[in-house]
Amino acid sequence: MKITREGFRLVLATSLIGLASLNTGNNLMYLILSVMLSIFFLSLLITYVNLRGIRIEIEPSDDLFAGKTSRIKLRYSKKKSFLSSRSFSISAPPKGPLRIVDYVDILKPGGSIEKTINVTPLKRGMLSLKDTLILKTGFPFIFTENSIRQDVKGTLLIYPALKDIDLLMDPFISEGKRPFTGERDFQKIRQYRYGDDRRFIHWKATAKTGELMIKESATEETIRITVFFDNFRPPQEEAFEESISFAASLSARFIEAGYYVRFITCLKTIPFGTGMEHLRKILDHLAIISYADDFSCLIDEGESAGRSILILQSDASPLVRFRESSERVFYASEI
Amino acid sequence: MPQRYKVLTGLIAISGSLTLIFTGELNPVYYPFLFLMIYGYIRLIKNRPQGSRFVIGLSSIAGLFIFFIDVFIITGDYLVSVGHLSLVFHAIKSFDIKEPYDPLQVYFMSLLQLVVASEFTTQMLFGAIIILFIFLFIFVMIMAHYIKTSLQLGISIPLEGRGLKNALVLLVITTVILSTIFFISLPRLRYGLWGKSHIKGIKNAGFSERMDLSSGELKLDPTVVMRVELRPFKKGPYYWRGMTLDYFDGQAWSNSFIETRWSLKKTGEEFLLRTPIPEDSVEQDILLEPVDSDVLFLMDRPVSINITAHRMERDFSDTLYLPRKGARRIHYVVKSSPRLLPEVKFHPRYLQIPASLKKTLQPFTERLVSGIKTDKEKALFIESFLKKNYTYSLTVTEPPSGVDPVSYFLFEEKKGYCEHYASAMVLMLRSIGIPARVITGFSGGQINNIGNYIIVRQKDAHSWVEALIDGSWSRFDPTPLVITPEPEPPGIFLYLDYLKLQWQRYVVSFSREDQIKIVKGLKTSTEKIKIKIEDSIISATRAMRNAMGIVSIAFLFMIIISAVILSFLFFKIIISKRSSHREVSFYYVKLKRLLKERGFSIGDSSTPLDVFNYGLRSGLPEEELEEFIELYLSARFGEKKTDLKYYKGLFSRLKRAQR
Repeated sequence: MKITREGFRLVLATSLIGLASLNTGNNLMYLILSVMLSIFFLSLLITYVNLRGIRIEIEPSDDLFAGKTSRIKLRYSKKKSFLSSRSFSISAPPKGPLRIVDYVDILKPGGSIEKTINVTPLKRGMLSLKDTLILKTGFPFIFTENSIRQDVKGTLLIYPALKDIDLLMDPFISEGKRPFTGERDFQKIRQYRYGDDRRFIHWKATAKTGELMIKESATEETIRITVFFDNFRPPQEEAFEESISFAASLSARFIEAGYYVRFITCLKTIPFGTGMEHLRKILDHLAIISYADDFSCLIDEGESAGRSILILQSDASPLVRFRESSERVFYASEI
Repeated sequence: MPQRYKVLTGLIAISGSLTLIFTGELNPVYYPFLFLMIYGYIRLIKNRPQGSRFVIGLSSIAGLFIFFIDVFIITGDYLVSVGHLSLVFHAIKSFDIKEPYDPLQVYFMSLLQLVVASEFTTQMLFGAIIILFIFLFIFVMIMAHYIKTSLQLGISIPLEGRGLKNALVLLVITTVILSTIFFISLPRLRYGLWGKSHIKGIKNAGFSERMDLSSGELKLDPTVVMRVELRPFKKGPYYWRGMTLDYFDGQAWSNSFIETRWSLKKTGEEFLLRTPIPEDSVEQDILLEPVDSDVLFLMDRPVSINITAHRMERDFSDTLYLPRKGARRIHYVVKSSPRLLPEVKFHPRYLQIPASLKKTLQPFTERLVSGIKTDKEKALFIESFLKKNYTYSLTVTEPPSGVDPVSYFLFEEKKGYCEHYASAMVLMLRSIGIPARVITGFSGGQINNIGNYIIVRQKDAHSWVEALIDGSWSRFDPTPLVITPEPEPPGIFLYLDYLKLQWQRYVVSFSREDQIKIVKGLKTSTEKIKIKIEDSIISATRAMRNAMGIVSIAFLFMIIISAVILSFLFFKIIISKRSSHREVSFYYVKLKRLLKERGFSIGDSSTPLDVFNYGLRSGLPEEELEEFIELYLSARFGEKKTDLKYYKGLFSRLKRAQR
């Protein structure tokens, strides 16, 4: 609860009238004083009560990317009470991880309101909504303001910012653009891997071996790409975030161009795949990835087969060994 | 800025300024600033360009300069000068409202005007203005809130159609109630600290330390001097005694005992004049307007006075005085006992008569009362003689030089008003050796049946006679009863006057003593209730003990407590669930009935799925219908609680959709 600048003026005026009333004993002055006190008291009381019993639930309508304004669904509800909540706003703390502003005119007791509003997350990660939003009101007047941290249940997953990398990667990406015509240049049968097109499952071989087997074509190799992402402790933290954003943008761009993308870090391997769902898997990982001080990278040397791109934090990373086999190498500090 | 915001700002400025002007204390030279201000607000509402910074700044400096001249040279009264300044600044500000926060200055200036006005007036109109101010101020502050919020959030919040009327009415009512509570409970000092009141008293209130028999103007003045509630109510004639006059110098009467004043001792809240207080005493609750005198008015033979004053004085002739002239309304309660004999204090001055007058009056009076034996009969005869043989008139010609007004009245003019009659009788009595004195005050008054009180006006000012006969002061009124054909005031005026009395009594004159009374009253009522409850419990317990014995009582209490707990649990666990399910089913059945009315073959055996399908076919929105059926199922069979208000809303939406 805070008294505004106008509120302080009112308090000052009321105090002066109070002194004058006491001095003169003039009851009409006491009457004015009583009115001023009532208005101030009501302002305090209503401003306080106005935010009581409000519940907010958040549900993202779109994927949320750091730095990008997206749509989010908000549901305001109010517990049963006698009074409606009027004219309040929600916002995020100035130094918080979100930019969000919304205004509610009236929320009746026992009622609820659903709204879809804009939100701009400022950084990637798993954002806990507890104490992230501030409910604020000055209703009914302009003398007092009440703001409370709203306890919203749940979390939001914020993907890294996607950037335009066409200028940098276009020639490289266009090489891989070979649209599937239906005629497949059959090369070999191998074990099914996550992300493979199920239409090409070799059922006979599957029946024989008891494991899912798939027909692999020669052309398919050219539209597959592996992105190696190094999450060993970076020399500069800012560069690490930039590299994450770059890796996400790269994966998104490749998938958009029709590539089968595999994403490998020392902690996790996301097998080849394409489409939005696959991209979300990569982004899910990148949203929460953090750097490690020390780890033994378990990536098999054989994974380096095929076309790959390596994003390195520094030469001290264990992933340096894939430098030679990768078609392009990016250092975080240079991105 | 929204138009309505501008209009309300203008109204607040105008109401503050008008309040100040209505007090009549401001110099009319400043009135044109009000019109200038109105012009400024018309320009603002019409979105005309506001004044330039330079002109506004220059005008403000000029206004301040005028203020200093005003306060130090012209009026010499800082409060009046502040009032003038506020009018000037209001006018300047009306041309300089650019930002949405600018009107705040206007509101505070209007507030200052109200404060200044409160020192000039105590009219009931002020109360009406306060109510208007609360309304306007709250309205404009709500609007200011929306304007501020829209500026802070960078969004547009339209002020129209927001359903603010209810909020406004509720806020105004709450503010009025809260203000009343604050008004009653705010601590007050018994007396003010420093400074003097600016409220002007009623001039020429019909009595003074001198009575010079010169003018009849007072009789025509209908200004209310005091309002009196009598407990118990008694019929007239009423005599509100003020000053006693004992010395006549040939031209005018004066109180020669005025220097003999001594302070009365206060006992508790009262000044006791006689003890013990007789049971048959008449209580007079008097609200005296600010009059140009320090004399208290009351019925004869007072025994106690309850008044908010630290000191009171009394003189030899029983006149009662306040320590200073009443600058404010005075509220006091007097108890008088009509059967009590007044203390008899004889003084030779009650026989004083100028020698020249005695020469003419003595033979005249002796001739008049020859043959009458007792003093009382003589006095009654003189009273009757004056009543019958002299004409009551407010217009009298001035006596020629060297002729005293009493002789002129008795022997030449033979007409006059109460002062002439009283003077003549006192001097006639004195000339034949009966001690007598003139009493000034008020007589009669208009009874207001609405509220049962007496309104005493300036025109009720009166003089009468007291004569010391048989060891007691007796009242005589030689003035003939003049019935002037006065139209009865319309009922509305009586209502208004009653309201005025309440306003004066409970707002303007509300005091620390009233606060103490309220607290004592509350305490007494609480104690009474407590005692009643205790008595009932004790008598009930006794009756039960007699009938059942202690063990049985304990057993009964246990049963009652268990029943209360069980009822509570039953309500919480069973009834609340059942009621929720019943309510939900109620709306479900209603929906079925609606669909049936539309021609669908819905019966008792129809399943919720049937209802859903029929609902879809009738064009109900799928999502809402599905939610409605699901909530019904979970309440009916899943024993889940449903938000009934929400469910009812859902039903209303479906019902509307079906139409």
